Parts: sequence; structure tokens; C-alpha cells
Amino acid sequence: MPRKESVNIIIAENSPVLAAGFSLCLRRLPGLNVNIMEVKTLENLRDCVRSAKPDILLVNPSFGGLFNPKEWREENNGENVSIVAIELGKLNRSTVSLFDDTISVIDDLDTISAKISRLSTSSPFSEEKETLSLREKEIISLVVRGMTNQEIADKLFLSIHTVITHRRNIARKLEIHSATGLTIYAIVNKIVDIADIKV
Amino acid sequence: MTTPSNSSRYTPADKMASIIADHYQLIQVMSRFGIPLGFGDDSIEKTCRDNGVDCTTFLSVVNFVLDGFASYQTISDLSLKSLLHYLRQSHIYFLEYFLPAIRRKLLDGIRLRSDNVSFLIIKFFDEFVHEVRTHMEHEEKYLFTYVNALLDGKYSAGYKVNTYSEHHEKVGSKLKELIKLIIKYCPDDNDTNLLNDALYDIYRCEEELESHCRLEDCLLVPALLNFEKSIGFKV
Repeated sequence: MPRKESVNIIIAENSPVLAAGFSLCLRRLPGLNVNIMEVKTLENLRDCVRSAKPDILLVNPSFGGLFNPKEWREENNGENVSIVAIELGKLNRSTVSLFDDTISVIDDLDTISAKISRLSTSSPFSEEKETLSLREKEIISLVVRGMTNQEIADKLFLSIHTVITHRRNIARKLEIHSATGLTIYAIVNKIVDIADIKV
Repeated sequence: MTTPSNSSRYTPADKMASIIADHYQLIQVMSRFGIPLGFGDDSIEKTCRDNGVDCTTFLSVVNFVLDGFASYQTISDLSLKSLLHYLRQSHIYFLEYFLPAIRRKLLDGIRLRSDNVSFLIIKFFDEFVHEVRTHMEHEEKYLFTYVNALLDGKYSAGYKVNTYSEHHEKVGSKLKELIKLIIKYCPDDNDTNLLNDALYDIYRCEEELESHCRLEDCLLVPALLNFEKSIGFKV
């Protein structure tokens, strides 16, 4: 899992002080790579959603009059967007219930961080490294010799799906996604000999 | 014209020389817009006008580069022509100048040999450059051509900016992988200073490519959607 997941967040807030404040706080969250877009009108918001694929919409409940998450979702194909209310004072419960969560101006960074991680589909804290299994090393040695997934499957008597799953796990564990990168890894870690590599 | 209060850090009346001197990253922005150095004490507005650059677009890019995010307020005032010129020049900069320069430094720094992984590091870099080139050429061939046709009043059906948004992948992530590979597995027979220099450049390149892609997503695409709407495209 890459350490820095990217989270797209739209801030729909008319107060420039609040918008800038949230923007800055969100970008300071540890372990998260946050892309912020600020919008000032409902029309801006619609265009922004179509071009930027947000994960989270942070919105003032009074944005554009009175912001209704349910209606907005229906009009904008926003099923996958988490909608979070900006809480200035205490919001009444019926308002809060419309949103997926609220972030208050007095929340500390840890609280905000926890909320954002939970709401975005990313998992920024899964940093632990696993070691490669023997089977995975065997597959690496075949990949870097230039064999295709099908050839590897045939040689090891595996299904091609199993090979693909292994390769996906290898890429995740090593954070290496290219054949050349894998070759470098394999040589340095003596899984293959450099003389076996054709370039 | 955008009003000065418009969430922008800089306004048309500010002096060009002071914003550039304050933020060295803007030297690039300026030259990609085709504004040469030597503008004395002229304001941003005058310098832009003298060089045939749309001032709102220039400031939007400046504020985007400095703040890392776009404000959607100015989208309808952007000049697609100026923006496109800027993006084209950025492509030229990456492909013709920056990436080849990094390759040269990398070659000098890691001391290419056939009996260790140094040649594979160069191979990785070359594959990356090839991807970037393909990506940018694809943009120019389809997206930029489409925008130019729109600006000329030729509304071709079929291609819409939505088509583009879906294809836009981040080109910079592979550089992160390269940085890690060099840090972890580079042979120790290298020239440290030269290699460090190359690594600094790769970091900077990664950031600039990321910023470049986001600029396309956050300024160009919304501006295009806006333009499509203004000429009556169904969205």
C-alpha cells in the first residue's frame, strides 16, 4: 500500500477565512496527501465534482441557501462522495443527521485526521511491511526473466489468476509496480543473477 | 477582469518584478507564458498586456502554483488560448529540457556499468520518459486539438472534455518509485554529489509534473466545461 494516499476534498464555504483555514489544516494532516479545491457557488461545485472526482465534500450547511446532501447526491451522481458539514456553532440534530459527519472549527488536528481517514476510502496507516514468501520470490525470478503470466502459470502448475494475485501482492509489499523495478530488486537481493537478465 | 479581493494572493496592479523575486518557482511560469525577463517596474497587468498574455489567466496560474489549489471563481474569466499556450510550453519544457537534463546527471552520477543494476536504473528512467511523452503527445493530439477547434468555432461532436478527465492518470507516481529504487538499491560506486543533484532534480520533477497534471484538472478542465456550456453543449 503506498504510504501517501491521495484524497480529493472540495471545500464549499463562502467565508474566505474558514475556507483558507480548513484548506491549510487538511493539507497538514500527517500521512495523507490531500488535494483541495475551493468552490464558492453551487454551479462551481457542480463543475468541480464533474472534473475532479472528490472523495469528500466539506460543506457549510448554509451553502447556496440551505444545502441538502440527499438532493445534491441525486442531482450530481454523488453516491461515492462523503458529505461533511462544517460546524461553526452547535448544529441542530436534524441537520447533523443529513450529513455523513461534521467537522467543527474547534476540532483538533488528530480529530480531523481520524475523521478524514475514516471517510476517505484510503488507508493511510497500513504501513507494515510483509516479507515475501518463497512462492513470491520464485514468481519474481520468472517475471524478471521476461516470462508472461501465462508462461509462469504453466511452469508452476498454477492458474493465471493465482499468478496475477501473487504479482499484485508482490507489488503491494515491495511498492514496486514495474518489471524493471522488480529486476533491480531481484538482482540486488540475489533472487536472480545479473547474467540471467536480457535487456 | 477579476476583482483584487478574489481570493488571489496577487493582483494585476502588483509589480511583476516583486512577485517573481519573492517566489523563484514563478520564473518558470513566466517564461512558459512567453514573458521575458527585464520588465523593470511594470505592473503584472502591463507586463502581461505588452506580451499578449491574458492577465487573469496568468494570475490564476500564479496563484495555483503558489497555493496548490484552484479557486473556481475565476474559471469563467480564463482565456483558454493563453492557458493552452502555457500547457504546451510546459510539455516542451519537460520533454525537451528537464527530463533529458536529469538523464544526463543520472548517467554521470551513477556511473553506468553493465555488471550492476546501474543500467537498469537508466532503463527505468527511460521507460518513464517514454510514458510521459506518450501521455503528453496524447493530450496534444486529442485534447489540445479539440480545444483549438472549439476556439476556432468548429464544434466537433464526439470528443468532450469528460472523455479526457477519465483518461488522466498521474504521470508522476512512477518517479516516486524511481527515487525509492535509487535510494534503496543504487550501487555504491557512484559520484555522490552528482547523484544527489540528480535526485534533487527528480524530486522537483515529480512535484512539477504533479502540479502540472493538477493544473490541467483544476483549471483547464473546468474552464473547458464552462466554455462548452457557454456555447450550448449539453452536459
